[in-house]
Amino acid sequence: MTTRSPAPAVGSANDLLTANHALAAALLRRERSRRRGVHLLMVVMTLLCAVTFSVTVGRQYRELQSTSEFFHRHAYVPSYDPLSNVILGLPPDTIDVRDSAPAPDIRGITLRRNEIALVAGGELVRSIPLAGPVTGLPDVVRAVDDPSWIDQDGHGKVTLHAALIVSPGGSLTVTAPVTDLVMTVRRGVLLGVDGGRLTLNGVNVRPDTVGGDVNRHAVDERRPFIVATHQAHLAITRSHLSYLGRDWNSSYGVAWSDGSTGSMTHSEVDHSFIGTYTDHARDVLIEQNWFHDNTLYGVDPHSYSTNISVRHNVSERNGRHGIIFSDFVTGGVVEGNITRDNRLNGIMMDASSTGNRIIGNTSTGNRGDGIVLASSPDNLLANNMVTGNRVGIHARGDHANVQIRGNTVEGNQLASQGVELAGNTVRDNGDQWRPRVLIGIWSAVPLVVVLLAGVTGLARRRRDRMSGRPALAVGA
Amino acid sequence: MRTVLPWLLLVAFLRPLMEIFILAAGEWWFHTTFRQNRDLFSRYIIQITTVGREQDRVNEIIREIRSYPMTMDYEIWVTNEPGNGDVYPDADRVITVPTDFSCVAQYKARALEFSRIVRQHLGYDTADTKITFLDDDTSPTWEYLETAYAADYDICQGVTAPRIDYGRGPFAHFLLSHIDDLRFHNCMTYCSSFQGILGRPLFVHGEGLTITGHTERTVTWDWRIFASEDLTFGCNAAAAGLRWGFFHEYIQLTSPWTWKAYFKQRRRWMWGNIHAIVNRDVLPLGAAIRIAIRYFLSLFTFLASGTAVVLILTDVIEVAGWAHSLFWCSLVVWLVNFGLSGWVNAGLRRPGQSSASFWTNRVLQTLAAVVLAPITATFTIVALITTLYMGNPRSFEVIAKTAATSDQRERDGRDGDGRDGRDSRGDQTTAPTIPTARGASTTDDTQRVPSTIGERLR
Repeated sequence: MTTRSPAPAVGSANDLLTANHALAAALLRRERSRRRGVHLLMVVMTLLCAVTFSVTVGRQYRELQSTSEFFHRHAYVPSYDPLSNVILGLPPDTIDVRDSAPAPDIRGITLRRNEIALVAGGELVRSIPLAGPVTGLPDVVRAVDDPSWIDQDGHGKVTLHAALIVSPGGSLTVTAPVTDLVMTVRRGVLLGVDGGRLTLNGVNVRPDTVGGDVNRHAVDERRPFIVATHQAHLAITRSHLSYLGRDWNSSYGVAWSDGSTGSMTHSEVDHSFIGTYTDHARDVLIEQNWFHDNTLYGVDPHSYSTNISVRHNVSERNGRHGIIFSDFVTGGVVEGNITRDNRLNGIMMDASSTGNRIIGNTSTGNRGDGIVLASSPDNLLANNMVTGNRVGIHARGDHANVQIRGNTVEGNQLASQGVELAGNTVRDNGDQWRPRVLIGIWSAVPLVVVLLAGVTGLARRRRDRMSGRPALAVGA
Repeated sequence: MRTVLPWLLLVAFLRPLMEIFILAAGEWWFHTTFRQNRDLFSRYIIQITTVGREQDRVNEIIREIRSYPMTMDYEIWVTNEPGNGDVYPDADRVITVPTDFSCVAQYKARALEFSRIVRQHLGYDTADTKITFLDDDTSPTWEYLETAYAADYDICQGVTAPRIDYGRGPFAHFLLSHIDDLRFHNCMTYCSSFQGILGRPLFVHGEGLTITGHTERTVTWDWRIFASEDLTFGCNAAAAGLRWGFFHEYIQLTSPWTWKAYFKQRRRWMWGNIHAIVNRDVLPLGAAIRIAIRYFLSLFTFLASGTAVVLILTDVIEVAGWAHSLFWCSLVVWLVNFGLSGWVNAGLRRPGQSSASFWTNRVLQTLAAVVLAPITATFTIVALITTLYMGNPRSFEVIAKTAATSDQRERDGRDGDGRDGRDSRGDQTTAPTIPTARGASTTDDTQRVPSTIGERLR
C-alpha cells in the first residue's frame, strides 16, 4: 500500500532540513497570528458589549407617550356672531339666516347710550328711555323692571334670563354691589358688548346650573357666555368666571372678536369651554389670571389677533393646551406664565402664528409637549423652564428663524423634536446619554479585556498540559 | 397584546446579537481547549465519496491534497458507485460499492458503510486510525487536514465555507453562493458551540467530518436513512459518549450552480433531517428535539421579526427606546455577520489571480454579502418552506458540483437525478471484495470481505 510521506518526499538531508525550517517558521507565524486573533476577538466582543450597554443602559430612555385628545371636537362651523343672532332673534345654532326663522324665546336686552331696548324673536318688545347713563347693573334691572328678563335678589346677585348686550355707544360696569351675575341656561342668554364698553370687576359670572357632562355642554346651544365684538372694549378684573360657553363660533366662554380689545386681569376662569378666546382682536391684555379645568384651552388667541399679551397667568389642567396662539396670531407676548398638567401641550404657537415672544414661562408636567411650534416661524423662545413634559420643545412644519435660547429643558421624555437646543440648558431628559454610566461601562472595558486575556492564557496552559504533540508544531 | 407581543418579538430581533456571542464563545473555546496529540494516531485515511460523475473534480481534489506538505503518512481513498468514472490515478485506493452489497442504510450511507467494512477487514477500525470524509465538491485546506489528524477527539470537524467559485457567475451561482453565506455563519456559530463546547452537535456536515476508526466501528453508517447520514452519525456518536471536537479550519465547498440543483440539495437535507427527527431508530430523542427546535427557531425568527417590523411601522406596537437601540445593534451585528461570511468565503485565491483582482473581488463580495443579506436570509426560509411543500424525495439526489458538469447535466436534462446509492438492495449473494491499494504487496487483486451481517461491532 502506498502512503504519502511528509513533503518534501525527496531531496538531500540539507534540503529536507531547509524545507522543514521554512515550514516550521510558517507554522510559527501562523500560531502567533492565531494567538493575536483570539485576543482580537476578545477585544472586539468586549467592545461590542460596551457599545450594547452604552446604547441601552448608558442612555436615558423614557417612554414617549402618545398623546390622545381628551375631548373630541366637532368640525368648525362658520356662522353669524352670537350677538347678531340675538338681535335678529335667531337660534344660537343658526348657520344661514335664509334657513332659519326668528324664535320668540330668543330675547335680548340691548343697552344703548340713551335707552334700553328689549327684543324678542328679532322684534322690539319694549323701549325704555334712559335719563342718563347707567351706572351699573342695578340701574338696568330697575329700568327693565321685569324679573322674567333680569332680576336681582338684593344680596348682590343678578340673574339674566335674556341676553344683555351693550351696544355701540353704550357702557356698562358690573361691579359692587353686584357680586354674582348668574345667567340662565336657555337659548340666547349671554353677556355681550357690541361696539360698546363692558367692565366686570369683582363679579362671579356663571350659569344658573353648574357641573354636568362637559361633552354635552359643548354641544348645548343654551350655554351662556361672554363676548365682545365690533371694536368693543371688554375689561374683566378680579372676577371669577366659570362653566361658560360651548363649542361654537365666539361662544366659547369669554371672547374678544372683530377688532375688540380689552383685558382680563386678576381673574379666575374655570370649567368653561375655553378660558379666553380672541378672534381678529387687538391689544388684549391677559394678565395674572388663573385658568383651570377648562374643556379645551386655557388661553386661546386666534385668527389674526394681534398684540395679545399673555402674562403671568397660571393655566392648568385644561383639556388640551394651556396657552395656544393659532392661525396668524402675531406680535404677541407670552411671558411669565405657568402652564402645567394640561392634557396636551403647555404653550403652543400654531398655524403661522409668528413674531411672538415666549419668554420666561414655566411649562411643566403636561401630557403633551412643553412648548410647541407648529408651522410657526419667526418666534422667540427664551428663558423658559420646560420640565416633565412629553417633548420639551417641539417644532414641526416651517420653523425658520425661530430663536431658542436660554431655556432650561429638563426631565422631559424627550428634550426636543425638530429643533436643536444648543444654547439652552438641557439635562436629564429621555434619549440623552448618561455620562456616569458611560464612564463606568467604558472604564470596565480594559479590565474585562485583561481578565479575559488572563483566563484565556490559563485555559491555554491547562490545555497544553493535557495535550500531546500538536498538528502543526514547530519541527513536526 | 401591546405589552406581551413586543417582548415576544424582541427575542426574534435579538437573535443576531445572541448568535455573535455564541460564535465568540465557540471560537474562544476552540482556541483555549481544543486538544491535539498527533502521537495518538498512526494512520490517516482521506476518503472522497462520490457517485462517480465528478471524476475530474475528484482527481483535482486529490492532486490538491497531494500538493500539500503533509506531515503524516496518509492514504486517499475514493469510494465510488459503479457505472460511472472510476479512474483516479492518484488515489491510493478506489472502492466501488458492489451492486449486490446490502445493508440497512441506503445511498451514500450505504457506500460509507461499505467502505467502513473494508476498513474493518483491513484492521483500520482502531483508535489510532483517523479518517476524514470529503465529498466530490470539497477542498480541505492543508491546515484542515493536519488539524483534523492531530485532533484528540473521537469525532470532529471544522468550518464549511463555500469558497470554491464563490460569488462567480453565472448570476444564479452568484446569488446561490451568497445564500450559502448563512451556511458559513451557522457553522461558525452552532457547530463551534454545540460540537465544541457542548459536545452535542446541532449541525453535522459530511464534508471534512473526521473520526477515528474506533468511532466508525462503534457508530457505523448502517442506519435506516436515505440522507442526513452525517447528522445521524454525529448525533449517535455523541449519544454513544464519544468526544466531539470543533476546530477553526476551512473545508471549502461549492455552492449549487442552478436553482434546480439548489432546491434538490435543500430538499434532500430537509427531508433527510425530518426523517431523522421523527424516527427514534435514527436519531436519539435529545438530538431530535435539539434539531427540531433549531428549525422552529429559524421559522420563528423570520416570521416574528418580519411581523414585528410591520407592526412597528404601522404603530400597532410600540417598542421601548432602549429596546429600539438594542434592535439596531442587533441589526448591525447581523449585517456584520454576513459581511464576515462574504470576507471569509471570498478568501480563496484562484491560481494565477493577481493581488488587485483578489482583493477587489474580496471587498466586492463582502459588500454584496451585506447588501444581499435581507434577500439571502429570506430565501433560506423560502427554501425551507418550499422544500417542505415539495415533499419527501425519498432518495439521495446529488447535484452537479462544477460549472462544467452542471452545464453537461443541463444539456442531458438529468441534473440531480443521479444517486449515490441504488434503490434496490437485493440479497447479498456474493461477498464484496476489498480493492487492493495501489502498489500494495498483496498478491491478489482483491481481498474477500465477509457478509456485513453479524459483523458490525455495535
